[in-house]
Amino acid sequence: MKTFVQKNLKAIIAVAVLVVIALVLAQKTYYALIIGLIGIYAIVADSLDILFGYTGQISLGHAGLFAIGAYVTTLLRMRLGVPSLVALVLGAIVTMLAGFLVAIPASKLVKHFLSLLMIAFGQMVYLIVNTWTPVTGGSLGIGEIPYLNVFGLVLNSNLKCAIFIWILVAVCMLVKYRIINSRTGRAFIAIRENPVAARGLGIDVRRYKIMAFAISAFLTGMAGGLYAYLRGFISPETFNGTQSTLFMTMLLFGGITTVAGPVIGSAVLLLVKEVFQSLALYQGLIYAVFILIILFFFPNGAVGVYYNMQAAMKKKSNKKAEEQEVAKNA
Amino acid sequence: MSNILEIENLHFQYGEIVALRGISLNVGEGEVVTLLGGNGAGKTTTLTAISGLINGITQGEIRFMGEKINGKAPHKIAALGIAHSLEGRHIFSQLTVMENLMMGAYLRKGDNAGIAKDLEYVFHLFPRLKEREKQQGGTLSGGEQQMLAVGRALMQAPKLLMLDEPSLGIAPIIVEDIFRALHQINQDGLPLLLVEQNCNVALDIAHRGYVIETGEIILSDTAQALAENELIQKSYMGME
Repeated sequence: MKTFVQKNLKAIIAVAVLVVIALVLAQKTYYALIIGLIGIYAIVADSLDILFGYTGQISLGHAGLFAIGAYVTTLLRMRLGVPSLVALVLGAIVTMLAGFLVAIPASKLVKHFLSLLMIAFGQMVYLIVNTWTPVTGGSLGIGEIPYLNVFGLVLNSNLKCAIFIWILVAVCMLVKYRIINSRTGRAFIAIRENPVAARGLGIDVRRYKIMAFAISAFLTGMAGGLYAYLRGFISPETFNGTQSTLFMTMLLFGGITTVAGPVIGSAVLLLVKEVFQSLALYQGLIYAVFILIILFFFPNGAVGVYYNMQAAMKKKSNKKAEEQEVAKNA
Repeated sequence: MSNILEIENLHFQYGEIVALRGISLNVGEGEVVTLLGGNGAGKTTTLTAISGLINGITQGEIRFMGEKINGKAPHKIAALGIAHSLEGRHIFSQLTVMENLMMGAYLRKGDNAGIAKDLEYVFHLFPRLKEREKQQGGTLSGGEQQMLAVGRALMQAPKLLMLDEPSLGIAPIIVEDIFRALHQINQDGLPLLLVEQNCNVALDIAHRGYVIETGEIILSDTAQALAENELIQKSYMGME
């Protein structure tokens, strides 16, 4: 345990400082809302990382899964009176089942065909929630969603809700870490690297692709449910195609196959979105610029930039040490 | 000698295109069998049909250790003990040499002692892989990648190793290294089914061979007889 603390001392200090700053800021309701949203989007970006970063399956339709989680949770809570935490879990499970259904055909597709299918899926869900007015409230959405009640503790402020969300973010990170470092994770990586070779080594490619989809859908569905509880209001506009692009941009910007990437990507992109709120019309353009910057200048995302800098500094210090050595010998 | 692999009257089609027209061959315990032939003769197709990677068998039967395996999913066939080292190597280029090898042992849940032993065996056969243990697969030379592909297949602890053109695009001196290792692997008891265009090296280590042309086996004999066969010398060895 001591070695773990020693090894990750910098990271632990950084996290502690961020937590303190976040708690101070979160005294204001609006900031607490933003911090909560960052957590929610970090969960979605993490779920995308399992699917895209590790298994190599791209999805530009995760807003659809996010919507299913949000709507199912809300409807179970409000129409059927299911306890709020149970509704959250059931919402995630229903989303996982939806993920299964999409994954069965999707697992046979690769690259652009898969992204087309996922775009179509996102659009489908968007249209359904938009037009099925008797159930989903149509374009007006559903308001006055009751607070989340965690074992008797009512999360009746943005701050309380945000704290709960971030506990779940930590849990998600841990779950992701455990999955990636398991046999299942190795199968995912093999599929991403070379599906043909993976099959030859005895990996049931289809099964693991579907599994990655289901895990990703579960986490995204849970994030959707959390979103509904945090905002207290959901409407179809939150779940359109731009949202799917935003999720993917967050992951790419933060850096795929990293621990901190999804959180960083989520925080930066959400802050950009909030700052440029008045330019809502041009949001797509802003994301496009971000994606281009990533593609051209740092393909490994923000975390990748950090690693590159670290490597460069190490090289420099090594060189310096070498020079001193040479000088001494001379 | 009992046969570990038996193929009977195998027909295979890619959609409309007929690739194999009734192939029969077998591999005995501890044997090295080579399948020779030119481009498009059906060598690779035969291997992918055995390992189930491509589904196109229209007729015939493949039996592995007496059990019919055609129609089974590729991961199930691999689990039975057939390792298929693919043409073009197909290593995991972003993963390190070590990770590639461990990926080979994917199906061997919990057999840590066996995995460690086989890892040592692979490094003993290919010391170069040990040297490059932490290097990414994609940064290796072609010959080293081929060694890695063979090593990864061995990590499956197979009962039959199928190799698709291990000499393809590799410097002659490295080809010698690789075939010396293959010979050693066979000496240690593993039967090999070796597909090659390079007849010289293949017949050097093989016990028996089959010659395949446009999806049919036109000749089968001992390796020595094939090496002395005039047709083979003319068509495949470039001797006049």
